[in-house]
Amino acid sequence: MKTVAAKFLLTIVVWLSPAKILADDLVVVVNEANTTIAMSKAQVIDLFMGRYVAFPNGDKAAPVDSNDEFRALFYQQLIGMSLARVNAYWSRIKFTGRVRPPLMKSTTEDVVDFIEATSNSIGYLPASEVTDGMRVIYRLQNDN
Amino acid sequence: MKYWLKVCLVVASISCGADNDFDFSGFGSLGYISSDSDVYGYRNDLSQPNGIFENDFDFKNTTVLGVQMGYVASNQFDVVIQGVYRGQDDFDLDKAIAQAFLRYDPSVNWTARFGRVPISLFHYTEYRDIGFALTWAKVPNEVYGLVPYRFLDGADLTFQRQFGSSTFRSKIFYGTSKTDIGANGDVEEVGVEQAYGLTLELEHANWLIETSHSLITLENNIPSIEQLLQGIAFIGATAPAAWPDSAAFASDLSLASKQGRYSSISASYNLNNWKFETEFARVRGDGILIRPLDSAFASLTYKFDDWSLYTIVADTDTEHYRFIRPFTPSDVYSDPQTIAIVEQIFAGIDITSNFFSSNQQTWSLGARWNIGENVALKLQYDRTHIDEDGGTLWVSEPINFSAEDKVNTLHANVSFIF
Repeated sequence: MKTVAAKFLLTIVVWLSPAKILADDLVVVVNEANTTIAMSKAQVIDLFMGRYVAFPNGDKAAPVDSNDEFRALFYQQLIGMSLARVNAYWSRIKFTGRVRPPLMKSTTEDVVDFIEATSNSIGYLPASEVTDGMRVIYRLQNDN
Repeated sequence: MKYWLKVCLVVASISCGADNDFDFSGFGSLGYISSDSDVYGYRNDLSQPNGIFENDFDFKNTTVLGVQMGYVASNQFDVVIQGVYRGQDDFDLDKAIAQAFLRYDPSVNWTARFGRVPISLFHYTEYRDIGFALTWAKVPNEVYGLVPYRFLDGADLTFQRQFGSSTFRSKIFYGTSKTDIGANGDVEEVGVEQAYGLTLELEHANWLIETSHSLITLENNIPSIEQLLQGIAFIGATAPAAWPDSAAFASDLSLASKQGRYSSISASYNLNNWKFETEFARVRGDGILIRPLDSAFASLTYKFDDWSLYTIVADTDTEHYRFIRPFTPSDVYSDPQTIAIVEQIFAGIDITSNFFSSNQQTWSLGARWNIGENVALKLQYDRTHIDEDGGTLWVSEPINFSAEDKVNTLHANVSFIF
């Protein structure tokens, strides 16, 4: 019984450890070929909210959104808006044909595939999902 | 149907087989409006011929359904086609198509669109029908009710650039257009021979400031004005001495080739849970019918959780035209039937010359509740004070009713996207 309790306690401790939390932070990533090293929060907001869809060097960006549990967390941490408010904002931009909205992918795996395959892509995913084919240019937890 | 529209439809239909490059989405609103007036019937704008009076039960006035197809051909080219049903009279494909354009996006700074594009007369003109994008149940009628135009058949060119943390955008547009005008229970079409304009927008921190200026040249007269012009020509032919400048007056009354100048300046400011928005609009034009008009609104919204509570004050002020009858018909004509016809022509001029005259103020109180990520419920109460001879935005019964009045309206609608 003591062994089971100890294992359970250890699991909780590991699950709550800073390393684990850090690993699950959402990060903004680009293709490894992209020359962008880092972006400010304002630049990431401009890009994902369709205000200025480009990297700091002026190159056009291809943002990708993920239609999974991380989307709500991403926009809440980035701009403090619920998905309903984000969708309302984007419905104005999208349905007036002003800006092409971010490409929507169903899963994080699809986002990973798109980022790795597209040189001007930019997306977000949990830090634990970052692969060798991409570079982290912004970490959301830093500002919260 | 225009050639470019066919091209866009063909491109879109071919693209339906594509996977990631094809996008299908849409928006809509289903609403109910209640009014307490039996003389002034509510309508959203001049394009709607029927009003909602006391005890009316009507969904058509606020029901909107839009579907949009997008096809990304390459990193620089894509096609967008959008169809919208908003209760248009004689609904056909041409009236259904709100957008159908080819977009060329060569760099982050430049974007060009060719085809049928949304028209940017005032700040909300482009997305007035997208209920889910609006915090309010509807855009303020005082500013937008007299501007029923929805699209431009032509092109626009947008330039945008960042300066530090500020984003500057400018857009020029050129093309033709047309719109329905609801008058006396009928719908008549007004064509726009040419429209061109410029919008400038600056977004900085929590501020968004925009100004727009457009020039619209109308193409034709609606049939009811054409009849009046024929009547004036009849008077000019039968009693030239009694009304020597009838031809000049008829020319002034005509809408054909008349120019309207539309300008607006708007600003919005976000501070934590609060949002303040305001817009001032001005219309000036040639001739008698496009009356000098100034309108404005201001809105304050408080947002928390899934709720938005707001209040709006709006005002429209038009310079009224006073038609001075050049003679008394019985002094000039002896035939009673002719006298009656001329009296009718004068009465018609009286009414028609102020067809675009709107004088009213509205105070609104409302709430929006996001009941899901893609669905919002809105409730808005409006109290409108209509000045004497200022009820153009309403459908009146009897037709020529023009007395001062106060009207309460309640708007409830569900708006959604998919």
